[in-house]
Amino acid sequence: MRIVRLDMTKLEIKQEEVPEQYRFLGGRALTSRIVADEVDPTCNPIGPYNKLVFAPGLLSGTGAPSSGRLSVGSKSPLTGGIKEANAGGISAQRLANAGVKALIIEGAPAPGKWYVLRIDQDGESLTEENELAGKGTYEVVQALRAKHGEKTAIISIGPAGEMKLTNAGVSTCDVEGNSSRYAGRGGLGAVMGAKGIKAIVIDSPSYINAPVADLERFRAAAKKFTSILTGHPVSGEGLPAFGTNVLMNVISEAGALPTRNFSRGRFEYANAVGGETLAEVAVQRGGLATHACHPGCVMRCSNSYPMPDGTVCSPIEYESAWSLGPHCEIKDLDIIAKLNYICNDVGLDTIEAGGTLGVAMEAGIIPWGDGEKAVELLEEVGKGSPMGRIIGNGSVFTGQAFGVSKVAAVKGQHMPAYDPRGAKGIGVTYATSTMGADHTAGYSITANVLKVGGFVDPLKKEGQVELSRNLQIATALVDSTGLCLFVAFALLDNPDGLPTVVEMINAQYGLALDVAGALDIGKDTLRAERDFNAKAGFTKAHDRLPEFFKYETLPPHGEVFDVPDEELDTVFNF
Amino acid sequence: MRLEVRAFAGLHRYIAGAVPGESFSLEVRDGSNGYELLHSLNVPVKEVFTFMVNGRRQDLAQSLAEGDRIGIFPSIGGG
Ligand code: SF4
Repeated sequence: MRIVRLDMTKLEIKQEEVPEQYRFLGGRALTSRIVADEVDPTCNPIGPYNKLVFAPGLLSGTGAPSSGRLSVGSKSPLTGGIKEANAGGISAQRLANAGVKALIIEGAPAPGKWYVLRIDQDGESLTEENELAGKGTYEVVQALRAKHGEKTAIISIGPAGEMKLTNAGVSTCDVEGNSSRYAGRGGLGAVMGAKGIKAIVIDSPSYINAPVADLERFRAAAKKFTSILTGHPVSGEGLPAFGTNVLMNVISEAGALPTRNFSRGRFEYANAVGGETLAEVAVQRGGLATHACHPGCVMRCSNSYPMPDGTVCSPIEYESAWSLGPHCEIKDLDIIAKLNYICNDVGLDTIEAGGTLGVAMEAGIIPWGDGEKAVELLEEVGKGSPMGRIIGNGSVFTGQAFGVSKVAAVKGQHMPAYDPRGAKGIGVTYATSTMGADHTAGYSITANVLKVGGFVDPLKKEGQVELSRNLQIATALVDSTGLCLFVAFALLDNPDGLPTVVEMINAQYGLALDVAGALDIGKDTLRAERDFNAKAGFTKAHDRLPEFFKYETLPPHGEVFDVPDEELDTVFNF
Repeated sequence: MRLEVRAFAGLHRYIAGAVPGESFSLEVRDGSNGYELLHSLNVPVKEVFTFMVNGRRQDLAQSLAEGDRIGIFPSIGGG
């Protein structure tokens, strides 16, 4: 395995040996470590001193089930802190099978030039391809696959990334070439744009032949892990049947579905935009209710939703359906699909984009629930109009531009699909995560609502800090393995789960880690990220929710977020 | 007493005439509990993982009250 270093100032590519201290790191542990080691925390995120780091997880590119997650790390233009954005799709498997442990992009080229990096098992090459400038990601993938092969993985940015907007995401593609699998959060597309990289093409002879020290032992562990995943009711039945959007109804019933910019916890039309309806309509129109974002995923939570004009949005995830739906009081799945597709094509994170549309509605720029107007407003981003650039810079920026005080963001990043007053554990994660408001960083909804891994009453303040702490540590480990975070449902309920993950790592790398040793990878990663953020200027004051959550009650339960500040400050005591 | 009931994520299939996720009104004996409700709906208890009453998880053995909003779910997840 090699580390590829691309210097965009000198337009020079180097292959480096993997240093000893990085050999047993992967995914988030590796990207966050490299960012912490190499990037000045006070640098300008879109300046030449920031770096953009890509790494497959420890298990990516092998026969381990659902292990094809890609980690992208950098200093975030949106939060000003460290960022690790994680994506599905096929690029992590391709990178690992091309022999790449990590790709580091640094420096900055002369403005106005756009490059494509190609990586395969024989090496790398960089070409200037200015004709791709301004193109949406779907077209970029099509053009590059026509040239480099229909099975290549394409990582790209849309016009939003080229304009260096702080809500620009990094797009990756699935087997079919949908540029919809995003390392979306935190504006990393703007960093890629600042490096002058329009796209990265990755080819490899296989998806599953990354080096493994003890193949027989590995196969046995991978087989066992597959049956652990397929044997759990959530990963074995629920996710494949209805996808992640099955949450819409349960979160609404629980009174924790942020509706009309976090003003109530239930949406009367939740069912019209939820997973059950989505699956039915998708199948009726010849789409798919279940789909794998990369070969070897056994949970297949994704879907493919044909829109009325025949264009397919694949997938529509719960978080996107929420931000572009109930958050804006939009109750039409076809509009949600269209908005989601625009985000994919223009190159935006869906959670932040929907969050921002809700802020625009709060400001009175467009009416609540008006899908057509929402489409028009979002289309402005790709055009680069002044209004489009405001929207493309995310919720906090838009709130400032239009004098809106009620913006549900932490560290500059908009909240996902759970109101912290209706599920207080997730509020602890939003407040304290190194990433800004991020549900995946410590998904307390498991114990608060889904009763996976125990039960902690969502409306009480007791137990939430401990819940979030334990989940944040475990998540930092899972994000480093390349396993999809959705394995967590089985890991939390099945005592054999985590030991089997550790067994796969041991067999692949010839290690003798135990579970505690593996969890240390998670703890070390969080420490490195916290340390980076402290040096970037973050204090306790940044580990807080916006103040309205403390005094505005949320119907139907009438709760406020009341986990004390002093308790929030103990989340990282481990 | 009357209850407002919704069945989600496939559980509607046990209930004659139920539409997935849409509410229907049901008359049950005063003081009925969750078990009795599921029995009258023909929904197997082992398929119900989350039984929500007015937005909170509730034990099936606990009595229900007039006007309660009930949500019935199998084991689900996402994120
Ligand atoms: S569970 Fe879903 S997001 Fe995760 S790897 Fe599988 S298809 Fe991709």
